[in-house]
Amino acid sequence: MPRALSLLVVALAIAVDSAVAATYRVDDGASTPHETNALLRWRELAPSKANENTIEGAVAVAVRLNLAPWVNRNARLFLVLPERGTAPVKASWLTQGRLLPGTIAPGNRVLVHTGPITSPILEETLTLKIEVDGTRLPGTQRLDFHFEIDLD
Amino acid sequence: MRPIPNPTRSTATAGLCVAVLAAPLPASAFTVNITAADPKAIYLQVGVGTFTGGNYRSGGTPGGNTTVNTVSVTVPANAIGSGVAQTMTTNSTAANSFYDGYAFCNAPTQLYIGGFYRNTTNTGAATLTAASPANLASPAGDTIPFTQIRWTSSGNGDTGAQPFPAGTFVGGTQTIGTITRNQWAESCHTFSYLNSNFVAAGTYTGRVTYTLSSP
Repeated sequence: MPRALSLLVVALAIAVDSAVAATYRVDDGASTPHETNALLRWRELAPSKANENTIEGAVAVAVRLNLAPWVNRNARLFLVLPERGTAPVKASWLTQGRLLPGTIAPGNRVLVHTGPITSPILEETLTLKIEVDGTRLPGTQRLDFHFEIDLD
Repeated sequence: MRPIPNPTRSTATAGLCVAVLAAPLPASAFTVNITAADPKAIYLQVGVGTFTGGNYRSGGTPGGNTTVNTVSVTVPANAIGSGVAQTMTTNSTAANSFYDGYAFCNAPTQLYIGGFYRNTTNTGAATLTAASPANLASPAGDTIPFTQIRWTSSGNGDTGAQPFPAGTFVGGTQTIGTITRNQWAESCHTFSYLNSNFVAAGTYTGRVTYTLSSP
């Protein structure tokens, strides 16, 4: 093989690796919370000297992820909660076993799956528990979750 | 929102990448709106009250109580109108803090006044007011001005200012103190009859109504 052609092949291989390792947003348009509005209540009915002012609540979410483009690929899935609103929020979730449980704060993403993608559709139910500083939630705040996938 | 590129094709040609980027964006993200279900809560206790399951720190929850406690004094005949204040006592048995059970007041000379105010929105403090009639009255129709009754304020172990400080009834509606948002406040009031006037023998009564109002 001529030397020039060898260099071209190496360059293309690097380009392919770089692109494959990228992050993609997952189509989760079929995912739906069982309740659009999560009603949060004071964790402690009365104020305390420890300034416990958390309000909390839970909502179940039926997750349906379209993973068809990545079937048979090794990948890592993340739940993402972009920064938004003014009240400090912490969301934790339990699963039925297809995704990992975890905890997330706005501006972060948390691993929910690692390994091969074996099915074009992944269905899971997340039980989201949401905790907010009750002194900083004057009205309704919107939490927009989505999923991202990193290919290995 | 980013599209879903096909990883097996996106690296093949630049032209295909452009085509994918121009495709309709996939529906993505699920939204949960969070709202406080019961953003406000308020509690006031003057004298005895009801906490089911013990004090608040031990898991008790506040309830309603319709009891109206009495604060009274019997002035000796030879002291009537002497100007020497007469300390009053209460029939309230509430001496311990309903926050944590601490022995905060000294019954029967002190009347427990406490409460809390919850709100997710910062619209100011809750205000405690007291409404007293102009006079205490006897069955015979004699009267004593309510301004003849004052109180001091303290609490066992307290060193700072009281949330419901000392004062004198005005024979009308007056502010007793405030409770800061998401705070608990309590004081112990010791009432005295000023005994400034010579009055006819009899039992003089009047009712004061305390009201805690949230903004």
